[in-house]
Amino acid sequence: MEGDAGRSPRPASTPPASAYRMSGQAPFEAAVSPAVAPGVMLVGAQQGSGFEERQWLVQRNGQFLQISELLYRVLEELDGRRSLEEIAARVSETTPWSVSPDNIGQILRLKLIPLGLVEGSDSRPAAGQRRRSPLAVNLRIKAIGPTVLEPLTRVLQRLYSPRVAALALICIVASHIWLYANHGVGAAITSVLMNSLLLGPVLLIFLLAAAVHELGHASALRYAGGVARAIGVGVYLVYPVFYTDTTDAYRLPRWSRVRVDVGGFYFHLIAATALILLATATGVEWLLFVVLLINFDVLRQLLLPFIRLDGYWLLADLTGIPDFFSQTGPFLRSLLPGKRGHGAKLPPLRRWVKLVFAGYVATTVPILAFLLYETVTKLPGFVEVALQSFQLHKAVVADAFAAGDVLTVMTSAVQMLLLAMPALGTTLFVVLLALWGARSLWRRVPARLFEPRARPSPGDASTGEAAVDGPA
Amino acid sequence: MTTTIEKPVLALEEIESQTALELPERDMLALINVFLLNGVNVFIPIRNNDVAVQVCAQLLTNQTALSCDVQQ
Repeated sequence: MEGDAGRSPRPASTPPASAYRMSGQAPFEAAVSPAVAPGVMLVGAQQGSGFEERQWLVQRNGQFLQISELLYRVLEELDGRRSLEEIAARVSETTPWSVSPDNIGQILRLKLIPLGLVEGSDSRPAAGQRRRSPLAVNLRIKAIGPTVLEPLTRVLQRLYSPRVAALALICIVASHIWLYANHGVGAAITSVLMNSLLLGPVLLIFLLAAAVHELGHASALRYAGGVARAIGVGVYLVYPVFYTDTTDAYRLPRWSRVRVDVGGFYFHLIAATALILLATATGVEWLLFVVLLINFDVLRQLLLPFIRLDGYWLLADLTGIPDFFSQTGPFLRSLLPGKRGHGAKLPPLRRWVKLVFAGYVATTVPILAFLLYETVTKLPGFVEVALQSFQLHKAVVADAFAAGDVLTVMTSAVQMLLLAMPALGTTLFVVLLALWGARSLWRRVPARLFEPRARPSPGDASTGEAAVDGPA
Repeated sequence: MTTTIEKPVLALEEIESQTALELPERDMLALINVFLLNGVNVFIPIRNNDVAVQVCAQLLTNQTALSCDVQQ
């Protein structure tokens, strides 16, 4: 589903060992005392995993990789001083295998160096490079970094202490029961529909509540001992979004990750409760319209696990699958019998997790395919309508400017911007998707087709670059 | 008497089957929704001319943002 990892993941596979065996010699001068590459950090075992065997996490320049236990045990022993013999002896003690120095050399050549986890003479920067994905947040602009987030979330994390959370949840439930069962939202809707000038403040408060939503994720991560890397704005698929980078959550236990996932809802609903209280105290009815929008937004986030909204990560963490999109390809390949299927395969999943993953793929792929078809086919018409509306507002701005009507100029300018954003976002998404597809195809073209027909010398046999096989 | 259980030798196939999967950044998103109610047209056909005229008269006299178009 997604392969272009950059910001997004890709299953990394490695070249077949047969390539090296045919060459008759090692593809690189094996270091006598290999060491992990700079920027690589061993994190530990993945907690709350849906895999049958324990999986392990390492960080490479901030990006997390999920690796098997054998690879992790080898990495643990690479201190830059131990020889291959010493490493082999120690790995034999910590794994179920008798490991030889040659095995260690093979693991380095075939796996760890191509992945950029170990320094090697042929390690390529590409192994650690990140590429852009159409299914990731693009056009990212970081608004708040960790230095500002840390003191902010240090205070806000107190909302997750059990007593405070229990009290907050009671207030949330009680206020919403009062709103929908007792007071109603009809008057709030009517007041906004009948007075278009209220749209500005409604939109502003709604956006502020979305920012509070993001702080909920960051604070939940801080509460569990993690660090949010940034809060910012960007474009996801075709929509402008706020985002919080909670990548650090990978190393947390399952229920801490779940808390990070639902932390946005929690803070969003606290904001809604505050608005209900404010509306009750002041009698400003239209504030309840914002509450209605917030509630719809929470439901949408929760009920749409087909794209990377909060419900997606919630489902992923409940099942123990780190990321559905990037692991769909390896999962499907793992269902093929024997050695069929080129590229990385997913390690065996627990039975119920496998069923959930299969169900997810079976429902999500057709839905996303349909949405993609709709997006591509409707794009020309969509852009045309946006342009027409844009021209309309342009004329309004010109008239208002001539008349000195600053308010109309500003509101029309904002509306022109809002009109442009979805059209630009959709166009960007289609272009990124086309580029990603072209790159994926290009990577599958054998490199030998473009090389001069020269007999290879024994010394240039190394091709240690990790083959990246993105799951579409 | 002690028995030694020998561990199996690590084969190349086993090494090849070792997995390494790159994980994406975990971006928690909040969509920035935009509700444009300006320019929304709702057509409510009213067949009875008398009623239509009354509705239009009400809309015009009350100075609302709504408009009314009577077609014969």
